[in-house]
Amino acid sequence: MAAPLDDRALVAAAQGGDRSALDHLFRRHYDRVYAVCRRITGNDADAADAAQEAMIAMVRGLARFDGRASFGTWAYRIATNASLDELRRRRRRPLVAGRDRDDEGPSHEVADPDSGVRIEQLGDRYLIDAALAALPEDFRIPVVLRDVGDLDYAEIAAVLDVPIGTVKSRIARGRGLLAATISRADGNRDALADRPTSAPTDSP
Amino acid sequence: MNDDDLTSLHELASSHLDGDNSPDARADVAATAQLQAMVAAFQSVRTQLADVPPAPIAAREAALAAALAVFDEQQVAPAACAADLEPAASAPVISLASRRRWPSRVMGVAAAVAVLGVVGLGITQLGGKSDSSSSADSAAKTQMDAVGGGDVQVESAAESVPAMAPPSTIGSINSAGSVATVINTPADLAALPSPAANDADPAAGVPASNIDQRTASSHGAAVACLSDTQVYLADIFYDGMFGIAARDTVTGVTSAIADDCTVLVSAAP
Repeated sequence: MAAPLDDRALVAAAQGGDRSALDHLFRRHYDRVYAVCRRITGNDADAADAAQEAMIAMVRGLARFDGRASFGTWAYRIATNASLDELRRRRRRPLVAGRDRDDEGPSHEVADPDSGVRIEQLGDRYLIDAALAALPEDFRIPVVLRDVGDLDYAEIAAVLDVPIGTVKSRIARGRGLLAATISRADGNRDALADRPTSAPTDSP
Repeated sequence: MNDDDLTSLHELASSHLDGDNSPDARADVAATAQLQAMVAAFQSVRTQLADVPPAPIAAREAALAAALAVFDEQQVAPAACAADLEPAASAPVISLASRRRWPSRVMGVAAAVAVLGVVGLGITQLGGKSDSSSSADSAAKTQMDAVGGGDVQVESAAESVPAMAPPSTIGSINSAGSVATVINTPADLAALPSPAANDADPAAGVPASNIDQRTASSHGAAVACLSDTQVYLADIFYDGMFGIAARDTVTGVTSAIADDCTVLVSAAP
């Protein structure tokens, strides 16, 4: 069985017009690109849009990709920019009353034995989304690139065009703020869980 | 504990999590309960962050299809241009951003129509005064004059109409005073005139008129993207975005380039 081609070989083939190489390369990276977009934009719909824009931008810029950085670093840089563009567009869009598409959780019309676990997971999802949304972009993006994109400090510095020391300090600060926000929210949730949900019926 | 102390503890814990600490720093973390708690909290944050809900399959396939369609267009376009055919045999791909940019595109077209109207009025008023027997100006001069403005612009535009209509222009929102040529199709891009050869600066290998325009361009970031073989042609407005047009002097391919170095579209000669 042939060994899978590495990114460099796939990029070279795609630059030479090999469609299947591009398809293979993009399928390999789509999930991570989407994950970065998801964490920067904060919701599924904008993340899907941003990821698509990023893929199209990658095709358009592929001829100029010179391989000095890894394809992943280059791809996440584009995904980051696409996500920021998406956020800017979102700010310009009028707010629509009602629930966001992403707010539509699983239906619970039928009793689901795992519903408790699912609700808990949904709660955690919202918690991290809310904590990230509250984090300034300067901290959010390096943390996302590190913990979701798995880029190292130097790669993040290249993406953001800031010194490595700045990257380290922003990641540390961002993690500190996220941890504090989540800890506070968990404390509140625990406090709510400990509180009786209704007055005892047998109370006088 | 003040903020500075907390910040340095955060940095120590964060670097520890990333495996970036020195042996001494690792020993410090191992010996300090507070730092260990911070590392655990940061690890928890990392786990939650990485737990991204999977991308919907439909979204993934749509994104890949859209990207591959753009790739196909790029592969087809050079051959189609060479054969002087209409490009894009496949269905055109409209990016999400383009779809949302329709108001700015409408504004762009409206502005271009207004500019053409003003030029047309000038032609009507000055038509009798111009020397209609002079038709030697090239399309390149028409373009250069359009950037320069003034009476020459009107005269050149009037003279070149039978050969090639002058491109529409639009003022950049971001840079008052600069004029961008409106590009609607790859053919418009390919039709942009090259700099006049007799303006060449032998020392730089770049036409002197281009050096002036590089300086004049309001898209210095895009100009900086050019390779050694590419020459700047004009500031342009394409697909709702401002950028520059540049031509490769080796291949003759003309590209529309955005400020972030993205090639928006290319056209073969």
